[in-house]
Amino acid sequence: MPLQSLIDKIDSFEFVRDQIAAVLVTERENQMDLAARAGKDSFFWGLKVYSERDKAYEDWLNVGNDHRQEPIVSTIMKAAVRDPSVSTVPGVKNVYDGTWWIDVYGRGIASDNPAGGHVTSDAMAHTECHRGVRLVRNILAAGPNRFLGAVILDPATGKPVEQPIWAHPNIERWEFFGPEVEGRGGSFSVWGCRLEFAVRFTEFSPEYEPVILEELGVTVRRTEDGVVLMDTTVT
Amino acid sequence: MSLRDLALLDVGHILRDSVGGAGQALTLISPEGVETPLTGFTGDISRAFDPGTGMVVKGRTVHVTIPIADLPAGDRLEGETNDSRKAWRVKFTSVTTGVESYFKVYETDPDDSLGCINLMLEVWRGC
Repeated sequence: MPLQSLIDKIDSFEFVRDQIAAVLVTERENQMDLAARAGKDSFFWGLKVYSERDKAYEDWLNVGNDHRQEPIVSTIMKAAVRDPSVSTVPGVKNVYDGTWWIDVYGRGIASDNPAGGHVTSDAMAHTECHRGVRLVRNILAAGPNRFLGAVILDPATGKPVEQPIWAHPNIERWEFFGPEVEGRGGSFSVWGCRLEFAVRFTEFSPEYEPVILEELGVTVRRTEDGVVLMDTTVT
Repeated sequence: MSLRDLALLDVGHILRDSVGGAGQALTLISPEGVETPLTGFTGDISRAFDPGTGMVVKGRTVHVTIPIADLPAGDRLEGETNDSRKAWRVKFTSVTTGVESYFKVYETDPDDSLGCINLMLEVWRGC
């Protein structure tokens, strides 16, 4: 039986997807601004953020050897698992535990160390990746970002007045990756980390459109002698 | 002369031929900074890396191949992993852009049967 209404809304998972990227980008700008004001090199608070992409990243392919490159951050939704204990009738309101992969890549370039020896590209790639992970983890786990910037507050009390449909975002696990043996060579070194970011969200689905069979109006009143009467109208 | 000796001579001749062959001028730089001009094959092509996440990052694979007999006497040429020591480097000019670039030797593949050594290179920041 076809639906009577157009599905013209954004699902919660799409909102969460966009908010993860928005929070990372917004806070990146903020951190770089704070660093600059503190007299520090703001480059070290920079991230290159991508959301829902799967083509090869060529950001580092043709860039000059002397050009510094921020860690690449790639966010992708991986899966959602329904929690039947808090979901209602299937297909109407479902609560999901979603997992987003937030991949951080660090790039390492070999260079001379004026103090002695040289900077090895693989060690630098690890350090750069760790720096990216540090920034991402702190941004997403920060208190003000607990609801991914989407909490609704009572203007009078400053407290949430509605239970948001997305909650408990948390980095559940992270794992570091290196290229396979044949892939370890190359013009620069790369080290990666995957953070599994979990968000609980609720999805609502179209329900049957109700058909009004008849309208029954009831007015309850009490007479002067205490008798309760019901006046009804049927249309 | 045996076939083995002949092969050795041929490989050297082919690698060193920058006039009629595919050899190119390059410079090997020792950890002490001593520069040795050489001629050999150079390669610089794009390459995809999968850091293990299933997502691909693009880079390049760069190498030079030179006759072992042309290597300077002294310390063995190998990729340096100890960051307290200086590294072997190579510089050569791109045949397409004309830009000279510096690279670090991160891995070596010597082939004693043909008398040549393949140096795997990674980009080097600075000179």
